[in-house]
Amino acid sequence: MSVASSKSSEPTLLQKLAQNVHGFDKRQLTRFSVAQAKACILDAVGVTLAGYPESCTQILLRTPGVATAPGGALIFGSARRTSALDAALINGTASHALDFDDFSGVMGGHHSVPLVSMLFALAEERGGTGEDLIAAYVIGVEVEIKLARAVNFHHYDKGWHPTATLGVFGAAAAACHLMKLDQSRTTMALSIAASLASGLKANFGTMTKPLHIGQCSRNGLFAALLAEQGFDAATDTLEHQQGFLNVFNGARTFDIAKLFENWGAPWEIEANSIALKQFPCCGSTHPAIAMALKLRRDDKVATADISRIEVMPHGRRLRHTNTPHPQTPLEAKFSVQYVVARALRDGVLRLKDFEGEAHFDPEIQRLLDLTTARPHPEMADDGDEQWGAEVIVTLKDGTRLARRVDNLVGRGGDDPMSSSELWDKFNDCAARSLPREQIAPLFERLETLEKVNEIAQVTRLLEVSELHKPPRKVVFAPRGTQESQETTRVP
Amino acid sequence: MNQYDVIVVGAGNAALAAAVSAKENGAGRVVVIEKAPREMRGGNTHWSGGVLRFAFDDPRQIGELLPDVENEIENFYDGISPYPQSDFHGDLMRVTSGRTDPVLSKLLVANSFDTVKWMNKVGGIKMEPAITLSAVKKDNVMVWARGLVVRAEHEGVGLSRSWFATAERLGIEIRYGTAATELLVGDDGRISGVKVRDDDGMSVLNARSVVLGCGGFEANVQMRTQHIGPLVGAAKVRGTPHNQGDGLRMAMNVGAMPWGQWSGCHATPISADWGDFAPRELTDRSNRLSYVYGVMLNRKGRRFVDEGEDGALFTYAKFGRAILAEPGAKAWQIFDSRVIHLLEPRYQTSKPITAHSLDELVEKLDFDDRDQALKTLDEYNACAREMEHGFDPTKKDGLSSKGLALEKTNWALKIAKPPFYAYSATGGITFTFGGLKVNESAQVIGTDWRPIKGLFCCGEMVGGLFYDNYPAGTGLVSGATFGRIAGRNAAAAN
Repeated sequence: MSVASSKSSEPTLLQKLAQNVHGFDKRQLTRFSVAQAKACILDAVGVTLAGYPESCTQILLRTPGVATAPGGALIFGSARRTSALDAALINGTASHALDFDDFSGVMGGHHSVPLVSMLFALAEERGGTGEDLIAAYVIGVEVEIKLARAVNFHHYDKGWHPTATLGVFGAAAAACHLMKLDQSRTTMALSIAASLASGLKANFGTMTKPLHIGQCSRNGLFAALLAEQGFDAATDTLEHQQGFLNVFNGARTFDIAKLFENWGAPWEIEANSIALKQFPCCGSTHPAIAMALKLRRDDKVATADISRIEVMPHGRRLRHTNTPHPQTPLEAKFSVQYVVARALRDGVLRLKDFEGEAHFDPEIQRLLDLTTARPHPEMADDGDEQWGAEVIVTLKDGTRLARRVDNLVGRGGDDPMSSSELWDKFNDCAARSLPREQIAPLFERLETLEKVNEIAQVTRLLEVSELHKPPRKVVFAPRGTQESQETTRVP
Repeated sequence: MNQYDVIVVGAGNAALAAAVSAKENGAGRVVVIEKAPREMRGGNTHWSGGVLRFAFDDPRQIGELLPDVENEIENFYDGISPYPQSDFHGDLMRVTSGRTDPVLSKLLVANSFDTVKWMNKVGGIKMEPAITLSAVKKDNVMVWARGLVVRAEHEGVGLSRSWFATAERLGIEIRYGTAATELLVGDDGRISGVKVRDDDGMSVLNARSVVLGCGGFEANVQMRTQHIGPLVGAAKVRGTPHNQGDGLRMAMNVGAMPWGQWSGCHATPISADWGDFAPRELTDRSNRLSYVYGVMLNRKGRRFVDEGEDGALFTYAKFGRAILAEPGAKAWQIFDSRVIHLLEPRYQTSKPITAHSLDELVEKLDFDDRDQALKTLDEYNACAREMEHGFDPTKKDGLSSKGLALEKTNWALKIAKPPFYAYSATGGITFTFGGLKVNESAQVIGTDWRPIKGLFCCGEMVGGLFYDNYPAGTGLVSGATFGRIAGRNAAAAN
């Protein structure tokens, strides 16, 4: 019906979008887009494993009727398999549980999490190569961010959660591409996705924020699966008077031309505005952390020599991170003083620094007593660059060492995370759910994802066998009390 | 003018140690020729457990490698026995029945600790305590294995990545997907370079020195069959499919002398669930060595070894070959639910076939003679013992199935408590012992007993160290020791 009637007239926005999605071929991938996609996918898998033990994931898993459908899609970090739909819901939620995943400044949200766990679930259930998965991911990101260019930042400021409300289109597009649906079915899927879009910023800071991601992932896939079966929907769902653009944004608050401008030229995944989060704490503290790490690494600052630490972030970054003496792990994540002290002491920030009583570490307390924070006097509140920070350390011998950055929004563009930085983060994240011996081989497979013949080669490393026993605390016998031993381990 | 100062063929632990050492010792232009593509790089090192056996007199010396260890493990140093050079050498002599090369083995032992420190400092390889190699005694008390306290962080995969990262940082060129096919010799008798094949075809790379560090012939069915025999010819390969004996053949083509036990290899029982090559992502976790707690049946439904003759460390080598000699080169390892928690963690890499009765289990397995399989299990259970008769997995418990024609002499517990579990097993080859004759400078010796100028070798290609067996953790230290020597001398030859 709607499909047939539109043939005679100008194609609708969704039809054009569907044409771009369907017409995309993995041969159009550039070397750089593949490299960017691999880094983002690898990072998303890591943060998903970190998010598996979180309450939002665990409550979801024990909710009646969730993840009970039969199927071949793995719940990352467990031995449990279920339908791709349910796996997308669970893993999607886990992937955003810690808000540690990558983001796009243009999108005003997180471009990877709506796609990655859903694509693994689908590729695992139906078979697919790593290259297929990368191609579907790249086209999914393109749809999300091009749509964002058309609706932001009105969309964001109004209160929608773009990761979910735009992510659902990306997820549907990526699923359609992986399933090789034709243009008209892809149009249907995108239209169904429009009706399933949801996510309110009012729920930020709660378990419902990551649930938005699980839900949009699942809904995107659901839309594609329905379309595959012949489910129908309207074709003009974006531009319709009561369609997505007018309802979610409102008249004159969007620019549809931007939806197709510079499509794939370059791919959005190649943009400078794509960034990874290197540290497991509030993004506003990251510029100061990076400077503290530089002081430690390049200026060889040792904490024992420090008499004073001055932290001067951009004013907008300090307001919600000015916590001189954090009392809870959550406060520690929002304490620029704490994270700078940690960075100076350990040269690294790990998830365990925001667990238990890590923030009460005596050496850290001593450093916090030496620390003051104030807004940087030279960084204008309404300037173009709002992600700067300067950290100044005064040593006991009077030496003053300073490091400053004017704008550091995550790690990407000209300042991408190196392979070893990606590994450090991945290892830290994956260790929350996986047996240690699976982590390095998994990283290696993901690093060369485009050469993976079947996704099962990756997911078998994401699975935790029911036979797996977490390492016990062991005590070593003092030498001489036991007969000395050969190893019983055969190489 | 040569394009390179040093060409290193291969990209595993030994080869990259050679490349880094060459660079460290002044070679400006060093290239690593890796036959495998990027996603398969790193030779057998990727598959290894990363364990490093070295000699030390005072356990506190290890602290240099493990700066944080005292915070991680209480009273760390109090549990470790010294492992002097004489002990290390004694272990090498013992497991090789005294045949290890007297010169090379002493060189290896004497350099072992220094090599590991060098891997750490210059190679940038982080170390961790090798807890899982220790023997578990009663309860949670463990005893450190002698000489095996340290391994590379994240085992072979971590070791491989660290070597590549260091090589790249030092400006060593790495050419993936580039196979060396021939060594070139100048009129002066000196090696002048290698001929290589890559996606663009054939080309020649010139250098003053070439280091071969490209492994044995474990993945080459023809060479396995020819040198080791048809049983091992049929074995599955635990490691890289790229170790095809290329380096050995190339070197012998220019007059290198074969050396060491060409009929020998390291082989173990592994899962039969996969193809000819164990999947790369499962690294060294293909082993199936907990047969001591169950029984093994061949396709005809019969037992064929005394599974409990001794600890797995002492029986795995011959049982791997024993399985290869059975029909279809396959066996089923059968356990009951009382021992399933004792299986090595490496069993997690495959899914067992499970059933609630032995009849049901036998029905699910691919025996040619199911009645015989059931009869074998019944006969075994008639002679096997109960838990309370003294079953003790931490030592040879003497619990025997006396009266059975093929007795199981230890851990002969009845297979009685459902559910029951079956894991497949076959023989898998780890690496081959046959190599080339080298001198103390890691220079390759010709069949005329003279060194071949400009040719060095390291790693699995060094012949004469291992016969019949090798002590765990020696392969990587040998690789890095001779790699380091080879790289240094290759640089000096310029």
